[in-house]
Amino acid sequence: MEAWINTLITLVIEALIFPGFMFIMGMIIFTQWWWRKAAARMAYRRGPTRTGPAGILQPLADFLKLLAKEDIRHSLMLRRLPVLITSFAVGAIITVLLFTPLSPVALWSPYDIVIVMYLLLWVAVSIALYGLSAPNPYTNLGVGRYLALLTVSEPALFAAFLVPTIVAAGINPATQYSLYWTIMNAASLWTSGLVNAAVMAVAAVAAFFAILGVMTVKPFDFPEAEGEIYWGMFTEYGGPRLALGFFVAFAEKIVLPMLYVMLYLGGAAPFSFADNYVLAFVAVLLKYLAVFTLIALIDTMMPRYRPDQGIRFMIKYAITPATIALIFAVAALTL
Amino acid sequence: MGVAAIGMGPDVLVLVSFGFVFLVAGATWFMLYWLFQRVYGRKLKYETPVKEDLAFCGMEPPSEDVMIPVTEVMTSVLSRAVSRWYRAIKEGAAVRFVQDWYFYLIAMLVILLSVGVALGW
Repeated sequence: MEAWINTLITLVIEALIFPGFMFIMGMIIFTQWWWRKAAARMAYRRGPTRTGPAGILQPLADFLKLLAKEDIRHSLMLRRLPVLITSFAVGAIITVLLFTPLSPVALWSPYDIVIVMYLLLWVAVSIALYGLSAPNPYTNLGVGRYLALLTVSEPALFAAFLVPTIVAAGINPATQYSLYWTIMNAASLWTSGLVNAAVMAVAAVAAFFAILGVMTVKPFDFPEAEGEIYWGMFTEYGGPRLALGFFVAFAEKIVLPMLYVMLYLGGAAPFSFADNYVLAFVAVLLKYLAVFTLIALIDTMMPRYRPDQGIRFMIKYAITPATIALIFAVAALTL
Repeated sequence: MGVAAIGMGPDVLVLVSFGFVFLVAGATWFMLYWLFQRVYGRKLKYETPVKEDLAFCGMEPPSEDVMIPVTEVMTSVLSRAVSRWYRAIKEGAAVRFVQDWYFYLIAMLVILLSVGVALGW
């Protein structure tokens, strides 16, 4: 009984502090600063400089400013739903991290990849509902475009994320399609035969594009499309409600690339979570930072696709390769 | 130092993960919304009719009638993205396939064969 209570307390601390709520908050502040600095360098600007050393606390200052503003609702806006829905979306995205070895005490079950996908879909649907809760002609345009983008990028993401779990189950059936054990075996996914390496390579490309789509990063940012449809889904929001919406969107920019790193880039290799947690965590963090920087640079460099162009791109370069990789992964497993 | 993993059945894990979603959602709502509104929000209330209006970029606030249906936007974006298929299916369905019993028979045959191959008959 005592051991059970200790485990529960540990899990609650993980959910609220590390790698949960407080960790994600710290990561959001750091990564937003990093993103703004990278974008500024590309445009021969300096980026944030005033708040904190090298301006690192600027995102925190912006976030606190939004949170401390008056909570304003216009006449057509739903009263409580935006706040509730964003809070639950934060809960869903943070719970995903409890399924990974980033949690010193992690949770797993056979086929838990399906639960992870459900939680990720929950976040995307929450963002759409968040937009719909504050109607405006531009918001509706943004939500319609976002839903159209989700219909192609979410299936691609799910198919692509299934591939490593299937490959891992082929190498070691004890992984049982679990995210946790797939990540623990991530280093061997690329080195266990030519077919597996080829399948992983195709799925990795598809997953990267799908992640860009789900996170609405340029060139797939047409649901927000600043300057064209004002701010799309976020047009009507300000103050604490906007802060919560941003929190969800930025948390997604941390968790999705981190899952990508752990599934496709060898997890904690050259270290292992089983041997040395600290070094493994640092390795994942460094790889994440490299992927995140690449995404920030793509966002800064690329122009925006038209909605139909973006969706066509997703069908060609995300859904199709992800489906092919999935078929080959299943075939390799069964044959 | 390594990591530990707690294994359980998928049904239990669904319940446990929902518990954590609720826990973190409660913490988020409490720390990022309720607390700030209690500390700052109440001091900031000021009355102006403008804040009730839709942010329509300085123009007259529109009524609900001008709202564009989200589903219409979504389907129009998707149909433009795959315009060739969309047109072929739309026209084909209207004039050819729907009228043609052979199409239904072939479709049934393909489904039966796919199911047969998948189940190893």
